[in-house]
Amino acid sequence: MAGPQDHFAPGNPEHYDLYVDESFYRFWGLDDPNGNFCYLIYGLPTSQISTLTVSHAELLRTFQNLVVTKLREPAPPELKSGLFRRFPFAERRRLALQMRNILHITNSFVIGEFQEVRGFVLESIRSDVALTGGAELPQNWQELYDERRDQLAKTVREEQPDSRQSCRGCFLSLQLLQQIT
Amino acid sequence: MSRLLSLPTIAATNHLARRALSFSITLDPRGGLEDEHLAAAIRIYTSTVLEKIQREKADKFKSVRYDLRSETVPGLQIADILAGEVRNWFLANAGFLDLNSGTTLVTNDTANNTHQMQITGNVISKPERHTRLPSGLVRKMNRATESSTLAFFRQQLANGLLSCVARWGEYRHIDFERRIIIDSPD
Repeated sequence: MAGPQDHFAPGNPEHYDLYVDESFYRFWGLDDPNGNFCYLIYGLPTSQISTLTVSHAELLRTFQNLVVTKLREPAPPELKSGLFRRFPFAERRRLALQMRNILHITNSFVIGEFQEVRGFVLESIRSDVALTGGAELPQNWQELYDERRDQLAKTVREEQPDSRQSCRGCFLSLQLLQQIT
Repeated sequence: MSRLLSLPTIAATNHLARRALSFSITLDPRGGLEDEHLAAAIRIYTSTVLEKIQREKADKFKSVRYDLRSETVPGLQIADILAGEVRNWFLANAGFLDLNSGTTLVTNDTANNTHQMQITGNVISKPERHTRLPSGLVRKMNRATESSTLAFFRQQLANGLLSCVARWGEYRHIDFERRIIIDSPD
């Protein structure tokens, strides 16, 4: 398999535009362990905006035609994941390859992350166990899970920033940059 | 919530800090006060990361916008489609969340690899746990299916990595190039 595309052209560094979208399902109450949260960043060199604009217009036309012909619905004003998912696979495949080509010719990159409620809560418990020198989640992890889930749900409701967690987030994210470079 | 939603921009900040001249962030607007809080959190977290990496030159982050409608911004539309494909990929490929995930913490003792990273000019060694992907998961990683077309975009993934929190809470990168999963220490 070929390695990941080098998204950074040699020469002078450029300005980038980052487009952020997130998607969640039964996440915020933290009641459903299988609820999930996903985010995605699309990174585009600003110098490529005109190329993207032209290519996107073509992609959108194809998309709109498919909505009309395959889904029998009015043409939407924009690309939407919910509609994309409803296309037959052959059409989705064709659109995805067209989109991949756009990302390729514009030297774009993508960053994505996914987590379920269960992992989100357990990650927090693991951090605490590690801080006390433990090497294993305790046998009563389910009790701890329930307690921590309630605490986190309360925190989410109240929007209280947690500086320790923020630092952990910064540190973990550093790996994304430096794992291969 | 602000912290969680700020994580992606922190990741992007790290990715761009040494490679880009500067960058701006555009969010898909949710509306009102929520967007203002999120934008404020992003400003704080992004600046913090840049200060760590750039020291005094934390000047690459230019702005965060949340006032543009997605129908006028092609980049937001592409992000919307790909976010759905990432989520559906994980839902259809739970094996990437389950593999070598369990109650044992990832520590210096259980890590089997050392990663060297540079922060504010100092090289820091960090243990991590690598697990080679079995052939069944490698096939899933490289094949677009009815469930998700994400495999088509694997060469566009920053550093060839896709991130997740595994079933038992390990912070995990899936390395599409080296065909391994990388678990960070707890």
